[in-house]
Amino acid sequence: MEKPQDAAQNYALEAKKHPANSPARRQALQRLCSVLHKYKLFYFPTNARSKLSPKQYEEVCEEARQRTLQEICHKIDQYDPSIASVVTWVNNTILRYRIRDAESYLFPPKEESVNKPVRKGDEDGTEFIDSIVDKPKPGNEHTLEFEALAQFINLDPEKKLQKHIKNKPEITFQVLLQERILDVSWEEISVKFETKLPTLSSFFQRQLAEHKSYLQRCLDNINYA
Amino acid sequence: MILSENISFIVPITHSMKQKAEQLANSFPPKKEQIYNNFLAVAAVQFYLDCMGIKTELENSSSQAVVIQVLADIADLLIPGVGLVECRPVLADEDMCFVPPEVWSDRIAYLVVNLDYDRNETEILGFLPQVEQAKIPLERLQSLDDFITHVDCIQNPVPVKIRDWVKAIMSEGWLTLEELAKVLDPSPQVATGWRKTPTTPWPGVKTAGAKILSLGRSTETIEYQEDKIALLVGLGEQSQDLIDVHVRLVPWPPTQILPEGVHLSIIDNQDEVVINANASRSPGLEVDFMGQPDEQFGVKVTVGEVAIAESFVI
Repeated sequence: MEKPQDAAQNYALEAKKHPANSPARRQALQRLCSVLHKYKLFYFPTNARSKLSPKQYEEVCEEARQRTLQEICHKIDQYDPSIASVVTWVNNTILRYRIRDAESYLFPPKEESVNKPVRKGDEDGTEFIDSIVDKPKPGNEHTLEFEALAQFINLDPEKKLQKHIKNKPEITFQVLLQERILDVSWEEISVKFETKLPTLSSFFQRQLAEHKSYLQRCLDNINYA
Repeated sequence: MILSENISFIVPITHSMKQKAEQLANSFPPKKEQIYNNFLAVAAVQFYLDCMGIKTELENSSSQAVVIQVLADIADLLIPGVGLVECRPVLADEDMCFVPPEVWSDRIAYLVVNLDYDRNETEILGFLPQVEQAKIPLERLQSLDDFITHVDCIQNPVPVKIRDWVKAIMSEGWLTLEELAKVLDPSPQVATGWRKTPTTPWPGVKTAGAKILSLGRSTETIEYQEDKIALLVGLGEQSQDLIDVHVRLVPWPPTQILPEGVHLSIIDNQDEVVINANASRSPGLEVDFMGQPDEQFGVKVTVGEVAIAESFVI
Protein backbone atom coordinates (compact mmCIF):
# COMPACT_ATOMS: atom_id res chain seq x y z
CA MET A 1 0.00 0.00 0.00
CA GLU A 2 0.91 3.60 -0.53
CA LYS A 3 2.94 5.14 2.30
CA PRO A 4 1.04 7.74 4.33
CA GLN A 5 3.71 10.38 3.59
CA ASP A 6 3.30 9.75 -0.13
CA ALA A 7 -0.47 9.89 0.11
CA ALA A 8 -0.23 13.22 1.93
CA GLN A 9 2.15 14.50 -0.73
CA ASN A 10 -0.22 13.47 -3.53
CA TYR A 11 -3.20 15.14 -1.89
CA ALA A 12 -1.22 18.35 -1.42
CA LEU A 13 -0.18 18.39 -5.11
CA GLU A 14 -3.74 17.58 -6.12
CA ALA A 15 -5.07 20.46 -4.02
CA LYS A 16 -2.60 22.89 -5.54
CA LYS A 17 -3.70 21.91 -9.06
CA HIS A 18 -7.23 23.22 -8.56
CA PRO A 19 -8.44 26.77 -7.91
CA ALA A 20 -9.30 27.92 -4.40
CA ASN A 21 -12.80 26.91 -3.27
CA SER A 22 -13.24 24.42 -6.10
CA PRO A 23 -14.76 21.09 -5.03
CA ALA A 24 -11.65 19.23 -6.25
CA ARG A 25 -9.36 21.33 -4.04
CA ARG A 26 -11.66 21.01 -1.04
CA GLN A 27 -11.77 17.25 -1.42
CA ALA A 28 -7.99 16.98 -1.72
CA LEU A 29 -7.50 19.24 1.32
CA GLN A 30 -9.81 17.25 3.54
CA ARG A 31 -8.08 14.05 2.46
CA LEU A 32 -4.74 15.62 3.28
CA CYS A 33 -5.93 16.63 6.76
CA SER A 34 -7.45 13.20 7.26
CA VAL A 35 -4.19 11.40 6.39
CA LEU A 36 -2.12 13.72 8.58
CA HIS A 37 -4.30 12.82 11.56
CA LYS A 38 -4.87 9.19 10.82
CA TYR A 39 -1.16 8.38 10.46
CA LYS A 40 -0.04 10.81 13.16
CA LEU A 41 2.10 12.88 10.84
CA PHE A 42 2.01 15.91 13.13
CA TYR A 43 5.24 15.99 15.12
CA PHE A 44 4.96 17.68 18.47
CA PRO A 45 8.24 18.53 20.21
CA THR A 46 8.50 17.05 23.69
CA ASN A 47 7.45 19.20 26.56
CA ALA A 48 10.79 18.67 28.35
CA ARG A 49 12.09 22.21 28.06
CA SER A 50 8.79 23.92 28.72
CA LYS A 51 7.59 24.91 32.18
CA LEU A 52 4.07 23.81 31.41
CA SER A 53 2.29 20.95 33.13
CA PRO A 54 1.40 17.99 30.86
CA LYS A 55 -2.22 19.15 30.95
CA GLN A 56 -1.29 22.66 29.90
CA TYR A 57 1.00 21.39 27.18
CA GLU A 58 -1.81 19.22 25.81
CA GLU A 59 -3.95 22.31 25.60
CA VAL A 60 -1.21 24.14 23.72
CA CYS A 61 -0.95 21.26 21.25
CA GLU A 62 -4.70 21.24 20.60
CA GLU A 63 -4.74 24.95 19.95
CA ALA A 64 -1.68 24.67 17.68
CA ARG A 65 -3.09 21.69 15.79
CA GLN A 66 -6.31 23.56 15.08
CA ARG A 67 -4.48 26.65 13.80
CA THR A 68 -2.21 24.43 11.71
CA LEU A 69 -5.12 22.69 10.00
CA GLN A 70 -6.60 26.05 9.14
CA GLU A 71 -3.31 27.27 7.74
CA ILE A 72 -2.73 24.16 5.62
CA CYS A 73 -6.13 24.63 4.02
CA HIS A 74 -5.93 28.39 3.54
CA LYS A 75 -2.30 28.57 2.45
CA ILE A 76 -1.75 25.47 0.35
CA ASP A 77 -0.76 27.72 -2.57
CA GLN A 78 2.27 28.82 -0.57
CA TYR A 79 3.54 25.27 -0.28
CA ASP A 80 6.46 24.73 -2.67
CA PRO A 81 7.02 21.03 -3.38
CA SER A 82 10.49 21.74 -4.82
CA ILE A 83 11.69 22.84 -1.36
CA ALA A 84 10.27 20.21 0.98
CA SER A 85 7.71 17.46 1.34
CA VAL A 86 4.28 18.53 2.55
CA VAL A 87 4.82 16.76 5.88
CA THR A 88 8.01 18.77 6.43
CA TRP A 89 6.26 21.98 5.37
CA VAL A 90 3.41 21.31 7.82
CA ASN A 91 5.67 20.52 10.75
CA ASN A 92 8.63 22.87 10.24
CA THR A 93 6.95 25.87 8.69
CA ILE A 94 3.59 25.85 10.41
CA LEU A 95 3.09 23.62 13.45
CA ARG A 96 6.37 24.58 15.19
CA TYR A 97 5.40 28.26 15.17
CA ARG A 98 1.79 27.69 16.09
CA ILE A 99 2.97 25.81 19.19
CA ARG A 100 5.06 28.81 20.23
CA ASP A 101 2.14 31.16 19.52
CA ALA A 102 -0.28 29.02 21.50
CA GLU A 103 2.14 28.79 24.42
CA SER A 104 2.54 32.53 24.73
CA TYR A 105 -1.13 33.15 24.09
CA LEU A 106 -2.57 30.60 26.50
CA PHE A 107 0.14 30.78 29.16
CA PRO A 108 1.91 34.12 28.87
CA PRO A 109 5.19 34.52 30.80
CA LYS A 110 4.50 36.01 34.24
CA GLU A 111 6.07 39.45 33.79
CA GLU A 112 3.89 40.16 30.76
CA SER A 113 0.69 39.04 32.37
CA VAL A 114 0.38 41.58 35.17
CA ASN A 115 -2.94 42.84 33.89
CA LYS A 116 -4.22 39.61 32.43
CA PRO A 117 -6.11 37.15 34.55
CA VAL A 118 -3.99 34.08 35.17
CA ARG A 119 -5.58 30.89 33.94
CA LYS A 120 -6.23 28.17 36.43
CA GLY A 121 -4.55 25.50 34.36
CA ASP A 122 -5.74 22.08 35.37
CA GLU A 123 -9.04 23.16 36.81
CA ASP A 124 -10.51 24.35 33.55
CA GLY A 125 -13.03 22.93 31.08
CA THR A 126 -11.99 19.30 31.21
CA GLU A 127 -13.24 18.90 34.72
CA PHE A 128 -16.51 20.42 33.60
CA ILE A 129 -16.77 17.89 30.77
CA ASP A 130 -16.15 15.02 33.19
CA SER A 131 -18.87 16.31 35.41
CA ILE A 132 -21.46 16.44 32.67
CA VAL A 133 -20.48 13.19 31.05
CA ASP A 134 -20.76 11.25 34.30
CA LYS A 135 -23.96 12.86 35.34
CA PRO A 136 -27.24 11.18 34.45
CA LYS A 137 -29.46 13.21 32.12
CA PRO A 138 -31.05 15.94 34.17
CA GLY A 139 -34.75 15.44 34.77
CA ASN A 140 -37.10 18.19 33.78
CA GLU A 141 -39.20 18.04 36.91
CA HIS A 142 -39.67 20.95 39.24
CA THR A 143 -36.80 23.12 38.27
CA LEU A 144 -37.16 26.84 38.54
CA GLU A 145 -36.35 27.41 34.89
CA PHE A 146 -38.82 24.94 33.51
CA GLU A 147 -41.59 26.17 35.75
CA ALA A 148 -41.05 29.76 34.75
CA LEU A 149 -40.97 28.87 31.09
CA ALA A 150 -43.99 26.56 31.33
CA GLN A 151 -45.93 29.31 33.05
CA PHE A 152 -44.94 31.81 30.39
CA ILE A 153 -46.08 29.41 27.66
CA ASN A 154 -49.42 28.80 29.40
CA LEU A 155 -50.03 32.52 29.83
CA ASP A 156 -48.70 33.57 26.42
CA PRO A 157 -48.95 37.22 27.53
CA GLU A 158 -48.80 38.62 24.01
CA LYS A 159 -50.81 35.83 22.38
CA LYS A 160 -48.08 35.00 19.92
CA LEU A 161 -48.19 31.24 20.32
CA GLN A 162 -51.68 30.74 18.91
CA LYS A 163 -50.96 29.90 15.29
CA HIS A 164 -52.29 26.48 14.40
CA ILE A 165 -51.83 23.86 11.73
CA LYS A 166 -54.18 24.29 8.80
CA ASN A 167 -57.63 22.81 9.39
CA LYS A 168 -56.60 21.70 12.87
CA PRO A 169 -57.37 24.64 15.15
CA GLU A 170 -56.71 22.48 18.22
CA ILE A 171 -53.02 22.02 17.30
CA THR A 172 -51.52 25.39 18.14
CA PHE A 173 -47.86 26.13 18.66
CA GLN A 174 -48.69 26.70 22.34
CA VAL A 175 -50.18 23.21 22.69
CA LEU A 176 -47.09 21.66 21.13
CA LEU A 177 -44.83 23.67 23.42
CA GLN A 178 -46.80 22.45 26.42
CA GLU A 179 -46.23 18.86 25.37
CA ARG A 180 -42.58 19.33 24.46
CA ILE A 181 -41.63 21.07 27.67
CA LEU A 182 -42.82 17.98 29.52
CA ASP A 183 -40.58 15.92 27.22
CA VAL A 184 -43.52 14.11 25.63
CA SER A 185 -42.08 12.35 22.58
CA TRP A 186 -43.01 13.41 19.05
CA GLU A 187 -44.38 9.91 18.46
CA GLU A 188 -46.80 10.27 21.36
CA ILE A 189 -47.84 13.76 20.25
CA SER A 190 -48.40 12.46 16.73
CA VAL A 191 -50.69 9.70 17.98
CA LYS A 192 -52.52 12.00 20.37
CA PHE A 193 -53.34 14.61 17.71
CA GLU A 194 -53.74 12.11 14.85
CA THR A 195 -51.33 14.10 12.71
CA LYS A 196 -48.20 13.02 10.89
CA LEU A 197 -45.05 13.54 12.86
CA PRO A 198 -43.11 15.53 10.19
CA THR A 199 -46.06 17.94 9.81
CA LEU A 200 -46.00 18.62 13.54
CA SER A 201 -42.25 18.90 13.91
CA SER A 202 -41.73 21.12 10.88
CA PHE A 203 -44.51 23.47 12.03
CA PHE A 204 -42.99 23.50 15.51
CA GLN A 205 -39.48 24.18 14.26
CA ARG A 206 -40.48 27.15 12.13
CA GLN A 207 -42.69 28.65 14.81
CA LEU A 208 -39.85 28.26 17.28
CA ALA A 209 -37.46 30.12 14.99
CA GLU A 210 -40.06 32.85 14.49
CA HIS A 211 -40.76 33.40 18.18
CA LYS A 212 -37.35 32.78 19.66
CA SER A 213 -36.84 36.31 20.98
CA TYR A 214 -40.32 36.35 22.55
CA LEU A 215 -39.60 33.11 24.41
CA GLN A 216 -36.04 34.10 25.25
CA ARG A 217 -37.33 37.14 27.15
CA CYS A 218 -38.88 34.84 29.72
CA LEU A 219 -35.58 33.07 30.36
CA ASP A 220 -33.68 36.32 30.58
CA ASN A 221 -35.77 37.27 33.59
CA ILE A 222 -34.77 34.22 35.59
CA ASN A 223 -32.03 34.75 38.10
CA TYR A 224 -29.70 31.80 38.43
CA ALA A 225 -27.79 33.10 41.42
CA MET B 1 -6.02 8.37 -8.39
CA ILE B 2 -4.92 8.07 -4.79
CA LEU B 3 -6.07 6.16 -1.70
CA SER B 4 -9.81 5.83 -1.51
CA GLU B 5 -10.13 5.13 2.16
CA ASN B 6 -12.69 6.57 4.52
CA ILE B 7 -11.98 10.14 5.30
CA SER B 8 -13.05 12.13 8.29
CA PHE B 9 -12.13 15.59 9.46
CA ILE B 10 -10.69 15.91 12.96
CA VAL B 11 -11.11 19.15 14.86
CA PRO B 12 -9.24 19.40 18.17
CA ILE B 13 -11.32 20.80 21.04
CA THR B 14 -9.53 23.94 22.15
CA HIS B 15 -9.76 25.77 25.43
CA SER B 16 -11.81 28.60 23.93
CA MET B 17 -14.34 26.17 22.40
CA LYS B 18 -14.79 24.55 25.81
CA GLN B 19 -15.11 27.89 27.51
CA LYS B 20 -17.86 29.10 25.17
CA ALA B 21 -19.70 25.78 25.36
CA GLU B 22 -19.55 25.89 29.14
CA GLN B 23 -20.79 29.45 29.28
CA LEU B 24 -23.78 28.66 27.08
CA ALA B 25 -24.53 25.41 28.92
CA ASN B 26 -24.47 27.12 32.29
CA SER B 27 -27.13 29.57 31.22
CA PHE B 28 -29.70 26.78 31.45
CA PRO B 29 -28.45 24.08 33.81
CA PRO B 30 -31.28 21.56 33.30
CA LYS B 31 -30.20 21.09 29.66
CA LYS B 32 -26.50 21.51 30.28
CA GLU B 33 -25.38 18.35 28.54
CA GLN B 34 -27.41 18.88 25.37
CA ILE B 35 -26.38 22.53 25.06
CA TYR B 36 -22.72 21.67 25.63
CA ASN B 37 -22.65 18.83 23.08
CA ASN B 38 -24.63 20.75 20.47
CA PHE B 39 -22.38 23.77 20.82
CA LEU B 40 -19.23 21.71 20.30
CA ALA B 41 -20.71 19.95 17.27
CA VAL B 42 -21.64 23.29 15.72
CA ALA B 43 -18.24 24.80 16.55
CA ALA B 44 -16.43 21.83 14.99
CA VAL B 45 -18.45 22.08 11.79
CA GLN B 46 -17.91 25.83 11.69
CA PHE B 47 -14.16 25.25 11.88
CA TYR B 48 -14.30 22.53 9.22
CA LEU B 49 -16.26 24.74 6.84
CA ASP B 50 -13.85 27.61 7.44
CA CYS B 51 -10.96 25.31 6.45
CA MET B 52 -12.89 24.46 3.29
CA GLY B 53 -13.34 28.16 2.53
CA ILE B 54 -17.09 28.05 3.20
CA LYS B 55 -18.41 31.05 5.14
CA THR B 56 -20.89 30.55 7.96
CA GLU B 57 -22.99 32.79 10.22
CA LEU B 58 -23.14 31.41 13.71
CA GLU B 59 -25.04 34.41 15.12
CA ASN B 60 -28.02 33.76 12.87
CA SER B 61 -28.26 30.08 13.69
CA SER B 62 -31.00 28.95 16.09
CA SER B 63 -28.56 26.70 17.92
CA GLN B 64 -27.10 29.76 19.65
CA ALA B 65 -30.32 30.80 21.39
CA VAL B 66 -30.62 29.14 24.78
CA VAL B 67 -34.40 29.14 24.69
CA ILE B 68 -34.32 27.09 21.48
CA GLN B 69 -32.12 24.54 23.23
CA VAL B 70 -34.57 24.38 26.11
CA LEU B 71 -37.59 23.71 23.93
CA ALA B 72 -35.96 21.71 21.16
CA ASP B 73 -32.77 19.89 20.33
CA ILE B 74 -31.30 21.95 17.49
CA ALA B 75 -27.69 22.29 16.33
CA ASP B 76 -27.91 24.27 13.12
CA LEU B 77 -25.37 26.44 11.35
CA LEU B 78 -26.18 28.85 8.56
CA ILE B 79 -24.17 28.94 5.33
CA PRO B 80 -25.35 32.24 3.81
CA GLY B 81 -26.81 31.80 0.35
CA VAL B 82 -26.81 28.02 0.69
CA GLY B 83 -28.89 27.07 3.70
CA LEU B 84 -28.75 25.48 7.11
CA VAL B 85 -26.56 22.53 7.96
CA GLU B 86 -27.50 20.52 11.03
CA CYS B 87 -24.52 19.39 13.13
CA ARG B 88 -25.50 16.29 15.08
CA PRO B 89 -23.26 15.19 17.95
CA VAL B 90 -22.61 11.52 18.70
CA LEU B 91 -20.62 10.37 21.70
CA ALA B 92 -17.58 8.11 21.44
CA ASP B 93 -19.37 4.83 22.21
CA GLU B 94 -22.47 5.35 20.10
CA ASP B 95 -23.09 3.64 16.77
CA MET B 96 -26.31 5.52 16.00
CA CYS B 97 -26.83 9.21 15.51
CA PHE B 98 -29.95 10.74 17.01
CA VAL B 99 -31.70 13.25 14.74
CA PRO B 100 -34.72 14.72 16.50
CA PRO B 101 -37.88 15.36 14.43
CA GLU B 102 -37.68 19.12 15.00
CA VAL B 103 -34.71 19.27 12.62
CA TRP B 104 -36.09 17.09 9.82
CA SER B 105 -37.06 20.05 7.65
CA ASP B 106 -35.35 23.12 6.21
CA ARG B 107 -31.84 21.67 6.22
CA ILE B 108 -29.55 21.25 3.23
CA ALA B 109 -27.38 18.69 4.97
CA TYR B 110 -26.80 16.78 8.21
CA LEU B 111 -23.19 16.46 9.36
CA VAL B 112 -22.47 13.95 12.08
CA VAL B 113 -19.81 14.91 14.61
CA ASN B 114 -18.25 12.41 16.98
CA LEU B 115 -17.33 14.04 20.30
CA ASP B 116 -14.39 12.29 21.91
CA TYR B 117 -13.85 13.96 25.27
CA ASP B 118 -11.10 11.51 26.27
CA ARG B 119 -8.98 12.52 23.31
CA ASN B 120 -10.15 16.10 23.39
CA GLU B 121 -11.15 16.08 19.78
CA THR B 122 -14.17 15.97 17.52
CA GLU B 123 -14.37 14.04 14.30
CA ILE B 124 -16.71 14.91 11.46
CA LEU B 125 -17.69 11.48 10.24
CA GLY B 126 -19.89 12.10 7.25
CA PHE B 127 -23.16 13.53 6.08
CA LEU B 128 -26.67 12.88 4.87
CA PRO B 129 -28.57 15.18 2.50
CA GLN B 130 -31.85 14.55 4.28
CA VAL B 131 -33.14 12.70 7.29
CA GLU B 132 -36.59 11.51 8.21
CA GLN B 133 -35.97 9.15 11.05
CA ALA B 134 -34.72 9.70 14.54
CA LYS B 135 -31.93 7.14 14.62
CA ILE B 136 -29.37 6.91 11.86
CA PRO B 137 -26.87 4.04 11.89
CA LEU B 138 -23.45 5.59 11.34
CA GLU B 139 -22.65 3.20 8.49
CA ARG B 140 -25.38 4.89 6.44
CA LEU B 141 -23.48 8.17 6.32
CA GLN B 142 -22.18 9.45 3.01
CA SER B 143 -18.60 10.65 2.69
CA LEU B 144 -17.33 14.16 3.23
CA ASP B 145 -16.32 14.16 -0.45
CA ASP B 146 -20.00 13.76 -1.27
CA PHE B 147 -20.78 16.61 1.11
CA ILE B 148 -18.42 18.94 -0.78
CA THR B 149 -20.07 18.00 -4.08
CA HIS B 150 -23.52 18.45 -2.54
CA VAL B 151 -22.72 22.00 -1.34
CA ASP B 152 -21.20 22.85 -4.70
CA CYS B 153 -24.35 21.74 -6.53
CA ILE B 154 -26.39 24.09 -4.36
CA GLN B 155 -23.95 27.00 -4.72
CA ASN B 156 -23.42 26.52 -8.44
CA PRO B 157 -26.49 24.84 -9.81
CA VAL B 158 -26.16 23.37 -13.27
CA PRO B 159 -28.43 25.46 -15.47
CA VAL B 160 -31.61 23.81 -16.71
CA LYS B 161 -31.44 23.28 -20.48
CA ILE B 162 -34.82 24.49 -21.70
CA ARG B 163 -34.28 23.45 -25.30
CA ASP B 164 -34.17 19.81 -24.16
CA TRP B 165 -37.81 20.20 -23.22
CA VAL B 166 -38.66 20.45 -26.93
CA LYS B 167 -37.33 16.91 -27.27
CA ALA B 168 -39.55 15.97 -24.32
CA ILE B 169 -36.52 15.55 -22.07
CA MET B 170 -37.48 17.13 -18.79
CA SER B 171 -34.71 18.31 -16.47
CA GLU B 172 -34.58 16.87 -12.96
CA GLY B 173 -37.22 18.42 -10.74
CA TRP B 174 -39.15 19.81 -13.70
CA LEU B 175 -42.53 18.67 -14.94
CA THR B 176 -44.41 19.13 -18.17
CA LEU B 177 -47.65 21.10 -17.79
CA GLU B 178 -49.60 17.86 -18.25
CA GLU B 179 -47.65 16.26 -15.41
CA LEU B 180 -48.24 19.35 -13.31
CA ALA B 181 -51.98 19.00 -13.86
CA LYS B 182 -51.77 15.39 -12.72
CA VAL B 183 -49.99 16.38 -9.54
CA LEU B 184 -52.93 18.57 -8.69
CA ASP B 185 -55.47 15.85 -9.15
CA PRO B 186 -54.90 12.57 -10.91
CA SER B 187 -58.60 12.17 -11.82
CA PRO B 188 -59.29 13.21 -15.43
CA GLN B 189 -62.57 15.09 -14.79
CA VAL B 190 -60.70 17.87 -13.08
CA ALA B 191 -58.83 18.59 -16.30
CA THR B 192 -61.62 20.93 -17.35
CA GLY B 193 -61.34 22.92 -14.16
CA TRP B 194 -57.63 23.00 -14.61
CA ARG B 195 -58.01 24.68 -18.00
CA LYS B 196 -59.52 27.71 -16.33
CA THR B 197 -56.40 28.26 -14.31
CA PRO B 198 -53.74 30.69 -15.46
CA THR B 199 -51.28 27.98 -16.45
CA THR B 200 -52.94 26.60 -19.51
CA PRO B 201 -53.55 27.36 -22.31
CA TRP B 202 -50.53 29.58 -22.51
CA PRO B 203 -50.73 31.85 -25.56
CA GLY B 204 -47.57 31.97 -27.64
CA VAL B 205 -45.88 29.16 -25.75
CA LYS B 206 -44.86 26.00 -27.59
CA THR B 207 -42.88 24.14 -24.94
CA ALA B 208 -43.02 24.65 -21.22
CA GLY B 209 -41.82 23.20 -17.96
CA ALA B 210 -42.93 23.73 -14.40
CA LYS B 211 -41.48 23.38 -10.97
CA ILE B 212 -43.26 23.61 -7.64
CA LEU B 213 -41.27 25.80 -5.27
CA SER B 214 -41.77 25.39 -1.57
CA LEU B 215 -41.54 28.70 0.24
CA GLY B 216 -41.73 27.11 3.64
CA ARG B 217 -43.05 30.15 5.45
CA SER B 218 -46.05 30.57 7.63
CA THR B 219 -48.84 32.66 6.23
CA GLU B 220 -49.97 35.83 7.89
CA THR B 221 -53.25 34.31 8.87
CA ILE B 222 -53.47 32.31 12.03
CA GLU B 223 -53.42 29.07 10.09
CA TYR B 224 -50.08 27.59 9.32
CA GLN B 225 -49.35 25.97 6.03
CA GLU B 226 -46.47 25.61 3.68
CA ASP B 227 -46.77 28.22 0.94
CA LYS B 228 -46.08 26.92 -2.49
CA ILE B 229 -45.73 28.61 -5.81
CA ALA B 230 -45.37 27.11 -9.28
CA LEU B 231 -42.66 28.50 -11.54
CA LEU B 232 -43.43 28.01 -15.22
CA VAL B 233 -40.96 28.65 -17.99
CA GLY B 234 -42.06 28.51 -21.61
CA LEU B 235 -40.41 28.85 -25.00
CA GLY B 236 -42.35 30.58 -27.76
CA GLU B 237 -41.76 31.55 -31.36
CA GLN B 238 -38.27 31.50 -32.74
CA SER B 239 -37.39 34.12 -35.33
CA GLN B 240 -33.89 33.93 -36.75
CA ASP B 241 -31.63 33.88 -33.70
CA LEU B 242 -34.15 35.04 -31.12
CA ILE B 243 -36.56 32.99 -29.08
CA ASP B 244 -39.43 34.24 -26.94
CA VAL B 245 -39.03 33.23 -23.31
CA HIS B 246 -41.98 33.39 -20.91
CA VAL B 247 -41.60 33.14 -17.14
CA ARG B 248 -44.72 32.82 -15.06
CA LEU B 249 -45.46 32.45 -11.36
CA VAL B 250 -48.78 30.97 -10.33
CA PRO B 251 -50.12 30.13 -6.90
CA TRP B 252 -50.03 26.48 -5.95
CA PRO B 253 -52.55 24.96 -5.94
CA PRO B 254 -53.84 27.30 -8.70
CA THR B 255 -57.21 27.90 -7.06
CA GLN B 256 -55.49 30.21 -4.59
CA ILE B 257 -53.80 33.57 -5.04
CA LEU B 258 -50.11 34.42 -4.86
CA PRO B 259 -48.85 35.18 -1.36
CA GLU B 260 -48.23 38.74 -0.21
CA GLY B 261 -45.17 40.47 -1.67
CA VAL B 262 -43.97 38.17 -4.43
CA HIS B 263 -40.97 39.47 -6.33
CA LEU B 264 -39.70 38.01 -9.60
CA SER B 265 -36.38 38.97 -11.18
CA ILE B 266 -34.70 37.89 -14.37
CA ILE B 267 -30.93 37.90 -14.18
CA ASP B 268 -28.68 37.90 -17.26
CA ASN B 269 -25.44 35.98 -17.72
CA GLN B 270 -23.47 38.89 -16.21
CA ASP B 271 -25.47 38.53 -12.96
CA GLU B 272 -27.26 41.81 -13.66
CA VAL B 273 -30.96 42.08 -12.89
CA VAL B 274 -32.64 42.91 -16.19
CA ILE B 275 -36.33 42.56 -15.35
CA ASN B 276 -38.13 43.10 -12.05
CA ALA B 277 -41.78 42.40 -11.35
CA ASN B 278 -43.91 42.41 -8.21
CA ALA B 279 -47.27 40.99 -7.29
CA SER B 280 -49.39 40.68 -4.21
CA ARG B 281 -52.42 38.48 -3.79
CA SER B 282 -52.92 38.26 -7.52
CA PRO B 283 -53.74 35.17 -9.57
CA GLY B 284 -50.37 35.18 -11.36
CA LEU B 285 -47.33 37.09 -12.54
CA GLU B 286 -45.62 36.86 -15.92
CA VAL B 287 -42.62 38.40 -17.64
CA ASP B 288 -41.52 37.81 -21.25
CA PHE B 289 -38.25 38.51 -22.99
CA MET B 290 -36.22 37.43 -25.99
CA GLY B 291 -33.10 35.34 -25.78
CA GLN B 292 -30.57 33.68 -28.05
CA PRO B 293 -29.91 29.96 -28.20
CA ASP B 294 -27.33 28.89 -25.57
CA GLU B 295 -27.78 32.15 -23.68
CA GLN B 296 -27.91 31.77 -19.90
CA PHE B 297 -30.32 33.50 -17.60
CA GLY B 298 -31.47 33.21 -14.02
CA VAL B 299 -34.82 33.54 -12.30
CA LYS B 300 -35.05 34.68 -8.72
CA VAL B 301 -38.27 34.43 -6.75
CA THR B 302 -38.43 36.28 -3.45
CA VAL B 303 -41.28 36.12 -0.96
CA GLY B 304 -40.55 37.88 2.30
CA GLU B 305 -37.25 36.50 3.55
CA VAL B 306 -37.32 33.44 1.35
CA ALA B 307 -35.44 33.59 -1.94
CA ILE B 308 -35.25 30.81 -4.51
CA ALA B 309 -33.00 31.00 -7.55
CA GLU B 310 -33.01 28.85 -10.66
CA SER B 311 -30.68 29.13 -13.62
CA PHE B 312 -31.38 28.21 -17.23
CA VAL B 313 -29.74 27.95 -20.59
CA ILE B 314 -31.88 28.54 -23.66
